[in-house]
Amino acid sequence: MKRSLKKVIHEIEFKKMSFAREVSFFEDVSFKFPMETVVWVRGESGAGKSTLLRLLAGLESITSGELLINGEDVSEMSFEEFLPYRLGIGFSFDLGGLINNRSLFDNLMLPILYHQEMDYSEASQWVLELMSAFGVESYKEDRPAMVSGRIRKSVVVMRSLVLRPSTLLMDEPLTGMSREMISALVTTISVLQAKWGLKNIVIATGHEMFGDPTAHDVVEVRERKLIFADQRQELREKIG
Amino acid sequence: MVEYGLDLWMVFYLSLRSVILNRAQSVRTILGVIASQIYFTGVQALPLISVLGLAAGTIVILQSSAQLTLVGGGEMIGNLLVAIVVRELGPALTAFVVIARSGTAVASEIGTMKVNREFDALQIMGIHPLSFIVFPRVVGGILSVLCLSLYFDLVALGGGYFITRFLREDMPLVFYLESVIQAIAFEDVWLFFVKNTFSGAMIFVVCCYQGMLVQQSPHEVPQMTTRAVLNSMICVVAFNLMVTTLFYLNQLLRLGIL
Repeated sequence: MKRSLKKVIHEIEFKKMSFAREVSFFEDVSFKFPMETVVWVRGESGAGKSTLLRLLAGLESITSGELLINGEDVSEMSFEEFLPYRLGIGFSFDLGGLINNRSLFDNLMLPILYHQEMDYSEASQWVLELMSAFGVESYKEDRPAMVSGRIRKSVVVMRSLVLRPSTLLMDEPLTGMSREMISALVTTISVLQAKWGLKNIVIATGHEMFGDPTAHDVVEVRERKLIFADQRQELREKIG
Repeated sequence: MVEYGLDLWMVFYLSLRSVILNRAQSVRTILGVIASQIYFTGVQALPLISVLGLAAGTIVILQSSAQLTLVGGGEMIGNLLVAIVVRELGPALTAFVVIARSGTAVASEIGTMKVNREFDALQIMGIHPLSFIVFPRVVGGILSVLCLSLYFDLVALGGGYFITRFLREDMPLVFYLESVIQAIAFEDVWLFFVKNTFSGAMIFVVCCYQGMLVQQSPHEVPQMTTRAVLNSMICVVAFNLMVTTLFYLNQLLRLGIL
């Protein structure tokens, strides 16, 4: 095992950020993300929730403007320069993303062993602990194509947790998960927060969030901008 | 064509660069991928290479020994075999087998990985796809092609001789071995390494590149695989032709004919 390159993220900010592919997703967005909290990103289908998470994870490059992480513009960074931040980010896809020629267990072990974050016995113990919490340990030798979508989804979510990240970005994490799996996710997140320094959680979902709705900061993706939503005000209006 | 060549060079350069610059990766993981590539490309191709080598060796030895005996040049059998089998048939047939078996597999595998977002998944795990996917396949491919080509030569020259012995008994083993060993020169060794190293690198860079051109839809995978086969065949044939031409021009220059 060697010294981790991981950098803890304290600050994420867009400055005059625009992003377009075939269509424009964001235009001239200046936004500072609330940190050390759970941020719920919501918006209509196709508004750009997933794209926002991909931008934050460095999977897409912004078209113009700046993406500042800990005050450093990361938009022009190479893969190797961004790596210390990336190792501190856990990302779960809404769909797909498992390595098909590896078993579910090997999928979860891969990032840990590749980056030598733990030795083999510690890593396998941690991965088996996670699989057991999510109730999928009996499928550990199966490949992704051999199991149901629900199990695949839970492994994708688990993989975002295996490196014990300081920042967690989750795209539609609840879709396709059973009630038990969601409960295991909430428990694991609490453990990571308490023991392993998980600080920032950004969840993009069109569904209602789990837990206390007033405990999240809500960010809306609307008309190519990011807007803070006053959750308490909305709740008061709902109650009447 | 120049643009395509530059793209291929960039894929090769970036995969090498990512391996050198990546401070985080474990060498053991990369070696594991190289080993499995050698197994699929090299070890699993041995039966097919054996059959081809035996057939090619037998045909060439039978035909050439018959013709050489007619013109009274029986002792030239070694020179002819080295020129045909070691310099030309070995690299070309090995490359074709590798393209047909492993080139298609690599292009379709990478194309499917793109569709399934596995490249994104690797990136998000902090694993450079070029260092994890392309580099080990190219290195494993080069080593496999070199070993397969050597194996082809040995089977063709050795096995071909023993089959010929069943049909013709007028070629003693000692005479045959001496003729072949005397015919192998230093140029044959470097020609062997140049042709096979380039073939291995070219096949796997082209096939990885074509696989990576798949965007989002599964229907692109077979299209890109077909293009990978076509392009790698063109590259290998063109390079072998060029090297052979330069080799013989050089020989003619040395003999003072040109």
